Amino acid sequence: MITRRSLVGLAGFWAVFTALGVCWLSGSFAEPRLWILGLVWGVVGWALAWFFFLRSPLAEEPVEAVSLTPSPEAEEMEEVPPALLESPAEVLQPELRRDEASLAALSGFLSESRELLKAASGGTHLQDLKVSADFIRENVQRTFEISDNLAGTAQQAFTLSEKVQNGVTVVTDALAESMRQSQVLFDQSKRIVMILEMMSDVSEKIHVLSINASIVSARAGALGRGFDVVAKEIRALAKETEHSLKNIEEVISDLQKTINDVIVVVKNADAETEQEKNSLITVAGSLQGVILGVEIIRAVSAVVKEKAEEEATLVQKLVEDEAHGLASMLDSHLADWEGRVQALNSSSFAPKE
Amino acid sequence: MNKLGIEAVAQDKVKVELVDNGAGVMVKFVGDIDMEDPSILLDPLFEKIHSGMVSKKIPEITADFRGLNFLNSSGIKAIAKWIMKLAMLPADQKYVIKIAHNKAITWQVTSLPTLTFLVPGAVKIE
Repeated sequence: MITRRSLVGLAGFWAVFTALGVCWLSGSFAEPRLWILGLVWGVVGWALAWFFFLRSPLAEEPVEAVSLTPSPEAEEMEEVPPALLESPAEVLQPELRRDEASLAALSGFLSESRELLKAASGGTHLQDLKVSADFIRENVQRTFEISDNLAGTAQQAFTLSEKVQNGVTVVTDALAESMRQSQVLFDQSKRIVMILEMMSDVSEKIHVLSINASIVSARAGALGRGFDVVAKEIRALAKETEHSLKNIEEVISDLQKTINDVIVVVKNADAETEQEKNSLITVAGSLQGVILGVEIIRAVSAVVKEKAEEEATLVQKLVEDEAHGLASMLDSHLADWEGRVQALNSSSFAPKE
Repeated sequence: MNKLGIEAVAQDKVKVELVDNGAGVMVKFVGDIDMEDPSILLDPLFEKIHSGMVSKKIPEITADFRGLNFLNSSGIKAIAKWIMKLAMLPADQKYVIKIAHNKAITWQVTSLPTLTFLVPGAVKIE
């Protein structure tokens, strides 16, 4: 093993023996001064070698130990079976074939793994998964579109309800007007009653006067001037009666007009009510449409839910299949490789411990 | 008999009849669908219609609701299920469903156009 110390020692020996060699070659061993000079020369050479060594890069890092003893490989080479030395081809070919078989198995394992990865990334299961995912996505989009349509329908229903409210207000006003007109009709009928009572009184007075006139006429005999007075009173009452009758005619005429107005108002109310009835039917129809639309959404959602469940099952199966396949394949190859390693360890060509 | 070979059916207040209509067929609904579970009547009928349309490669069918005065939620659910079957068909097997509706009947105006969203392009409103 070469060490820094041995290098320095070798350099010192080289300097001393160089000096001694020079002395011997010059034949001056008999001369002590020359011999001492050669020795001093060697010591100085050794010192210079040590000095330059310390300044060199070799002194900065340790020198690796180099074993000069025979290596285990070299020792083993001595124990190579004679059969290997005599016919190496026959001995090595089975080992080479076994290595080739191992490499072929490794290549097959890699190919199988590649196919498995390819199947996992783009196989039938994942393709189905993608189709299902697309299906779900499209249906969700349609669900949103249907919801939008329903929102429009709800807006229509709201507008219709506003129209119904306005119509109901009109109907209420019309009914109030009918009530007012009816009250007028009632008041006028009371006037008619009063007039009729007055006519009754007049008629009664005429009756009394006519009786009195008859009595006076009978007493006077030839003196019938009083009868003339009574006759005049009767005529006056007749005029009064006639006047009252005219009033009755006017009241009746007003009553007819009022009744006609009521009829017109009631007709308008009836028309409004009819329109509102149609509006209410429309509102009911709209609400029924909304209900049916919601039912369509529910049907779509049910299909989406069913599809999502199928997809979840498919994914679960995919994961289980892939995991099981990979585990089986790895177990198989591990067992194979373990057998090969054991076979190599037991072969005569294996290194000895 | 029509192209699909399906006879008319009647239950309660509704009658469903199939007639040929040019290159396609027409299924006409008349009356009221207000029974508690109309799927008993409609599901098998729509299944026959669907399978017949696909197997006989009939390009279009008109669903005529103009004579239908009332339809309950279970009824529209059966119709939606039929249309969803159309949605699941491959493109080369899809047929067209035309929906004929009565604009004077409000529920038809507000609900039947919604069915066109289920299979855009394959379900049309008339």
